[in-house]
Amino acid sequence: MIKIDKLSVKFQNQVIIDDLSFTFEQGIFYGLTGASGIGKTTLLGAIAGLVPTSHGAISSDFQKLGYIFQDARLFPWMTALENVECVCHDIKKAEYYLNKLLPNAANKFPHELSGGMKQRVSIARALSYDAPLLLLDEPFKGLDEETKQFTVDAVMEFIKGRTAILVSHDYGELALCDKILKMERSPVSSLTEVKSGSTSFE
Amino acid sequence: MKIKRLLLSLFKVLGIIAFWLAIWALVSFRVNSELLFPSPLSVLKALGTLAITSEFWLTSLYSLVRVILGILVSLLLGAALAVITEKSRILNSLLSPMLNVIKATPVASFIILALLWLNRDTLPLFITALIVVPIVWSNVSEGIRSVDHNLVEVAKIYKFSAKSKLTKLYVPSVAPFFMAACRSSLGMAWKAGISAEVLSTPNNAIGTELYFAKTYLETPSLFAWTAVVIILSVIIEKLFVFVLEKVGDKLHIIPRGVNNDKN
Ligand SMILES: Nc1ncnc2c1ncn2[C@@H]1O[C@H](COP(=O)(O)OP(=O)(O)OP(=O)(O)O)[C@@H](O)[C@H]1O
Ligand SMILES: [Mg+2]
Repeated sequence: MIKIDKLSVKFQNQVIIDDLSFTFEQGIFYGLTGASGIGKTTLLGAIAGLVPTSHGAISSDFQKLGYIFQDARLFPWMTALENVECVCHDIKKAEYYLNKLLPNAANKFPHELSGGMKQRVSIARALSYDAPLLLLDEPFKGLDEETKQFTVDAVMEFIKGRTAILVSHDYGELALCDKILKMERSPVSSLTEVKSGSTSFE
Repeated sequence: MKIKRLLLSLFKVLGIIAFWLAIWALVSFRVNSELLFPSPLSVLKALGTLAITSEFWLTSLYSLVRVILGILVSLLLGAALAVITEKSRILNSLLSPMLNVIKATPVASFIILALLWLNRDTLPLFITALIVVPIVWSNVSEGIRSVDHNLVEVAKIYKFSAKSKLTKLYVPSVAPFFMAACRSSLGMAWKAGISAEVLSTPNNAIGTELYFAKTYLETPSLFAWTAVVIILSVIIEKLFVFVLEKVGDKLHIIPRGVNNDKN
């Protein structure tokens, strides 16, 4: 469970998240959508403890979390395999996930990979960490249909029984989620559930 | 094809050398004084007579060891100062004026002061440190400041140990800056070390030989020793960078596959 209580986040006196309260339940796969710049990435950052909060509190039951950032964020001096292995400390596991998501690239350096390939290494890294909570910030953006299909499958298989929050603007991706939340500010920040299948959330 | 290209570039280099040797020979022929401007041949002869003595090799070795020791100590000291000043704001405010003062003070002032303070053997070491420490210090500081914040966040999410953070994030990020500092300071350190030797005249030192060559007006010998300084300078630089790259490769700390200048 992640309990967000009257959370506010400021960047240089500009309020990004204002008085947001919400509770994420255990074992649910959440979809999170909302206008660009509304604060979705900021919210994930706050949950992950990367963004300092100015008011309110977040209490989380999770000791460990995987985070697929909006950008791939690989270590440029490590190969694809080393990038995965350095978080899970288990070469077998690293090979397993990397092979699943990006075969035949174990010894390639990030600068030798395309944007979508780097993104898949970043996904493999997050999955190999084997955490009970997974944060995904537009992880499938820029993948072609076929690649996206098996990447989504791998992620879905991993998410079973875990808690996850997927930020996305894509209807098809959001349809895979147990619950879809829309982030808004009117004027305080809110997360409201929208029905899967309805088109009202974009 | 490859051999042809190699031969071509070899001829080019030889041509350039021949050109400048010819100019040298011509000037010394016109000056017509071994004292003011010795000919290439007499310098070569002086070098030859030096090279067969054991003192020559001992002297070169001593100077080399002295400067390399100075460089090693300075690299460690400079890097340590950078880490300290980047970690603590107070120490940064206290120590960074010192960095600027050292950078702005002419080496000659330090040599004269150091002649009063230090003995003749430690002086070249001190001067080398004065050249190398500030360069390493400011470069490594810049390297630490430029560590990618996004990657720091990755290390935080995946709970890197202190050791992992150091070896997998900070050292590889800073390594190119450290290497750049080595590249730009080694040559200078060597020259400054020799200059310090000229003034402090320790036993078994190239600088001391230069000083005597000047005193006894042995200009060919002066030229010969200078040639030795130049040759050793090239060797030091190549050797150091080679060793650093090898060590970095072994420890997996030097960025592989990335251009060292950009990231
Ligand atoms: N480090 C920062 N410093 C200052 N402002 C920031 C910072 N990070 C985000 N912001 C601001 O916070 C707001 C929300 O950004 P955020 O990245 O959370 O949006 P988002 O909902 O994820 O958008 P998108 O869908 O485009 O990714 C934006 O207006 C942005 O300018
Ligand atoms: Mg975002």
